[in-house]
Amino acid sequence: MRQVDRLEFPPEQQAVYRKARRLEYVSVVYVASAALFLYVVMGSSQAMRTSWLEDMLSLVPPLAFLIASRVAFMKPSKRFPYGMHTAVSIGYITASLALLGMGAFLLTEAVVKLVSAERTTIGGYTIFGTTVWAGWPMLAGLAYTGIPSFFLGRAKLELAPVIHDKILYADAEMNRADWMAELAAAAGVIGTGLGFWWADALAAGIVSLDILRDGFRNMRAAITDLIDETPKTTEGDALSPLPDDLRRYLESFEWVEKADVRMREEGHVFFGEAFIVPRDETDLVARIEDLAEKAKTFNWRVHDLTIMPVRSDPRTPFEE
Amino acid sequence: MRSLAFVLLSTALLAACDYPRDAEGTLERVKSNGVLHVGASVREPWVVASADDVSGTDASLVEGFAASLGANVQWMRGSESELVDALADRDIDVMIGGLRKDSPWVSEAAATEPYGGERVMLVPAGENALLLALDRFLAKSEPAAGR
Repeated sequence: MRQVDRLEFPPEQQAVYRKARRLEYVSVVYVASAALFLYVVMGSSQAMRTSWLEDMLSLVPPLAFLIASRVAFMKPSKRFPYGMHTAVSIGYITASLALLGMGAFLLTEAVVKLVSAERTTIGGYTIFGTTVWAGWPMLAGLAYTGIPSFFLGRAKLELAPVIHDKILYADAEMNRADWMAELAAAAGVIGTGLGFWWADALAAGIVSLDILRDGFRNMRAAITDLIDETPKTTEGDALSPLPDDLRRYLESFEWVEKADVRMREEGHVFFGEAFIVPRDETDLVARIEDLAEKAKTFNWRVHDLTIMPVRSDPRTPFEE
Repeated sequence: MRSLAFVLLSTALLAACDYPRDAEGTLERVKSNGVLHVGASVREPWVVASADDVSGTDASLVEGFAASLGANVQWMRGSESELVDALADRDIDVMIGGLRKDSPWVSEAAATEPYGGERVMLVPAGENALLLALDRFLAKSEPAAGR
């Protein structure tokens, strides 16, 4: 069985990809250290257990990226003639599920706390012989986990469209969820200190709605991606102009009378078919092979294009 | 970023003012009335009951705490469940009974940091200032034991 080409990023994308991998390694180390720090500060309290779960969920997208993007680069084989690009889609759905889980978990927690009217109380924390209000080290811990999340997420958001990596994008969204949740927790701690014992649950509840919405949006994009929806931009908010651009590129060849393109996303790249009506049938096979090669150089994201010559048929009109 | 700056600024301001506070002003009330209502559940040697007095390690500690606030102790005796209810109703301000830090009652109220190994005292939920004051007192009084 003929195999597709192996995926290779062009130099600019290669550099961005390496940068992204570094950021994700940093993310993994950072989340682990934050989890450790929180454990030291909060011990085995109720709040600690929930923070633990949040940290574990935050680890999922970086791990999904590191694993899936390695797999996507594997050489196509007899067993997998189309290559491993769809690994990225699997990684994306995993990361989206983690994001959705985070939102759902935070919302449930907040609602339960509000409904049971459980009053958050923050007392003393003794360290090095002095007792301070435990809220201060909690706020320090939240700042330690929240501030870097903000910057990491922003960096990832810039890189994701360049290599069209949806897992990276979902992870950037997870970072955003992280710092928003931490800001809400900080507001909760401050509010509790003011005597508003419900501040914690309220802030967490509001933020969780935003995260939940984000999670749904990404899940929907991940699912439609897996069922071969028409390609969209990395953020998933608009149709990708590439299929149309490709079609016009094909039609620019003078031996091509009309062209139509059908594409789907496979991870970072597009796979597809082109249907062309040639003006005449001289050297058709050679011309088609040549055209297929040229199409791949048109844009690095056009990874595999199967070209099919067709007769002009009024029953199946070409798109204008 | 601006919201972060706001949080940091307000935190700094709060650190200066009367902060943290009690949801229902218990500490202020104790100081102004001069009475600390303490619920005691018998558990030797932390709480020892005799006909007319309550004594024991916990009892002495809490009496010291009351003195530090310029207050006297008014005792209420009862079982752990009665006292936890009393805490919730704000009939008492502190509950002692040699409670362990993993006691199931801990989730019904607010617990101090463990002292004497793993014992805690309880205050009503939401009373941050009272809890902080008690934590401070206990940390100072038990330098050998505790953390």
